Amino acid sequence: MKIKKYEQLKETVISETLDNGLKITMVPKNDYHKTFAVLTTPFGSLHQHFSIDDGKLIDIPAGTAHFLEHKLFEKEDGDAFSRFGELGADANAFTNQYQTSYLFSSTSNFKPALIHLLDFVQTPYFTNETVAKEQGIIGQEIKMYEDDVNWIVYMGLLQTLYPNSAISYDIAGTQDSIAKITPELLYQIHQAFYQPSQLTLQIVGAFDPQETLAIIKSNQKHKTINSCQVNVIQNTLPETQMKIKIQHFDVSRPKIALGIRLPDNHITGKEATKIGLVADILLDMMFGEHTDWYQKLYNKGIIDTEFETSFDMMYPYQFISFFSETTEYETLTTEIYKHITNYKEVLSNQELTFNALKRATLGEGIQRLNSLESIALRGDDILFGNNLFDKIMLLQKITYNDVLDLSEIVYKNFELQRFILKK
Amino acid sequence: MKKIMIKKGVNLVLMPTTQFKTLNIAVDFCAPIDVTDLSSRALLTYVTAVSSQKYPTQQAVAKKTIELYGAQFQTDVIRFGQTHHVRYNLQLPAPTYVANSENNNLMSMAFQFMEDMIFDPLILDEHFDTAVFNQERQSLINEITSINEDKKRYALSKLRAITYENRALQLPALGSVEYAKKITSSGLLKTYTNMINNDNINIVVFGDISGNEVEELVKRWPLTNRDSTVETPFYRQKKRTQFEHVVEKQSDINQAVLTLSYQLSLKPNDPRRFTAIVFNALYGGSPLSKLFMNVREKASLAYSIYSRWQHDTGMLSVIAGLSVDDVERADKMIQEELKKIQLGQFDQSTLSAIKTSIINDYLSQQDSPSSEMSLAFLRILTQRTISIQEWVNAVENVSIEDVADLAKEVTLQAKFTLIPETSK
Repeated sequence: MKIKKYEQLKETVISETLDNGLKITMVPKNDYHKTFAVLTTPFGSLHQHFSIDDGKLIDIPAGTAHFLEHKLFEKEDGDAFSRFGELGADANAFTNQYQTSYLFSSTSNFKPALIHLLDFVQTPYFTNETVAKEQGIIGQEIKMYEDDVNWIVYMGLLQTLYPNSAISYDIAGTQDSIAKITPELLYQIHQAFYQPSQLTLQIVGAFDPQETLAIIKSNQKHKTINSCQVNVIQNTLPETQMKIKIQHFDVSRPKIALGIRLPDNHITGKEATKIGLVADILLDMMFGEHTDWYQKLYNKGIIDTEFETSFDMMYPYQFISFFSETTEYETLTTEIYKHITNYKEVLSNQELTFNALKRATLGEGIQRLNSLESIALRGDDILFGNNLFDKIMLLQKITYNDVLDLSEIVYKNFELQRFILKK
Repeated sequence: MKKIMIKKGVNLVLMPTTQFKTLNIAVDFCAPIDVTDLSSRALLTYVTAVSSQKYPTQQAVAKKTIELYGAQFQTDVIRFGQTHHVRYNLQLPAPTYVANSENNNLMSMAFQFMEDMIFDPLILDEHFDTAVFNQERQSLINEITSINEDKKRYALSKLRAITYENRALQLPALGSVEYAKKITSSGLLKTYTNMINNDNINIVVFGDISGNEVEELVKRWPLTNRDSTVETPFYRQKKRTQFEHVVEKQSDINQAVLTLSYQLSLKPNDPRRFTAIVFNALYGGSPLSKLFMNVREKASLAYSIYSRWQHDTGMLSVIAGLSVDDVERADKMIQEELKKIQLGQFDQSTLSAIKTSIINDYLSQQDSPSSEMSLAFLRILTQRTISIQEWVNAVENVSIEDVADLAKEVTLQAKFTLIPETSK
């Protein structure tokens, strides 16, 4: 059992890897009333091919990770979800590009709920019949996303940044892609990506670490799960093809998304987490509400508080993006373009601004620690092995020069892609 | 929780705790709801969020919140029954986690900032600054318009319109585009002056605080006495004599939305409110509910479905996102599930699970400053002083018969259905 103390943050992290490979991270917070537990596999919608041991390559249709997440709740003797309900626990699950997580929080019955979480995730039950039924339900869910304008814009941007690649497909897949899913495929994926050595269990809140660890150990001891070697084929990044894509939809004002891809790299671990932190400050220094640039555009009515920038790093897919709702999307594009072209000047002699923003970012990080869910889910635990506390500690070491260095990487030879949704 | 009267009609509530890593300050202005100034009060929350004499632009405000360690300054409008609330919220990291020699007065800086934003707005010659005013009025209009883009919100807003008799309750809490367009910058000043001088004010401070220090800081604000009598916030209307049903077709949508409103009106202190909470969770308010389990999971008639009961207006609403082909069957099933509850056709184990889950949600609120503060405002408004244990016991004591009996009082009032144009 490894104990790491973060004195400044008054937090403690206890970690342990069991003999079968299951990783456990515990953050006890005994002045809280509930306990939050998340079991995660680093398997998400970006996975397209894999093989087990030295077997042949298996294709994964778009939407499979999300499909499996839904399906894992259905068991021979009923619904795993309702069992949480009976225990008064609030359960949920989600799938994103790089992980699938199963979680619950409760103020009572924590132990039986935790055992249930481990058991239902580790006991697959897939049949032709249940798979067919799910294909209908998810079909409906996909349709619902098709009515969500913000989702359309986000996916539209990804399609222009990374045409026809894994990230440009909806996490839920399409009616056609999910039709290809079979029980055999789901079992193979479960064997590969849900074996204990792939799973991480995080527990945050009110609980006794020793006792909880003993419960998990005894639960795992009773299970015989064969381990296997998984080979994942890395996705290759496509070239961008067009600089603008327009789609029509009944929106009251046009919605626009702009994006810039970072040059391809293989950065991971602490370095990757650091880039994420530096990028947030860089974007804020360039386009934040406190800048003259923002204020000028805001006063002209070109942007409003809906304007957002973000930096995403999902393995090879790394990009910055801008989202806005405006009739003046051409002017906005020009202004963003001009401002980026001018980045050296915008960022020069800005050390004071940098220091202020770094301090503010630290303050925001501390505010985030109020929430057990944030502690478990807003770190880079799964992607890069750094938890939210590590991130906050790392942030304090970032320098103005880090920002200038990253600006060279991001803006020097930038190519701006656009997606517009309008009537 | 300690309540201190600062002036007549102005209360300060102190909630000291070290559980969290933040300091939270919220100021609530409460007035009887009035259809003519819904939008005007909403616009105030826009204008005063981005400007004041001391911080005249959004940029200046942003720079100040950055200086306050990334503080989050937010304004909101909230409607509770027949009261309308303008609320200012400030959250910043608790001074102990960021303190150094430069900022040992972070607490007083926070209160000073709230004073600057709330009590010293950007007013010149008897009206709000024109540029800011125009800008923010447009933002408000955009926001009201964008409700139409979220099809479920849109359908619910239409349902409100055909359910309530009071025009102020028919509209969204932000009012309407029509009202928003009529506001002038001098008219807005009247609304502001009226709010500052006449509204009941409640201030909640939550975090690692010492009572005396906070009280001293609040007393520096320019607060005056006001009429402190509060009408009941609970809104009541007679049952409709005629059932309303509206169907609307829209192009460019794939899914249908079905919404229903029912009356379930209880007196403010009726102990059956706990039964109503349990009933709602059993009917459609939780993932264990009849609507979710039967309509969505078993019959696959809807992708999403839930119900919500509002004690403040005495209404229960049901909303479902579904395929247009399933609307009729889902509608029928929604009514049937209600009948089954009225007949007591549900088992003890389901009821127990529902109650455990309600209690879990209630206790979980103690782990979020914003939930704790909302609850504190609600307690002040409804003048309820029930303890956590009493609340839990009251829910635990609800029986199958209690739920069935209360369900018989649930009466369908209106239905609004949104369907794709291309369909039959």
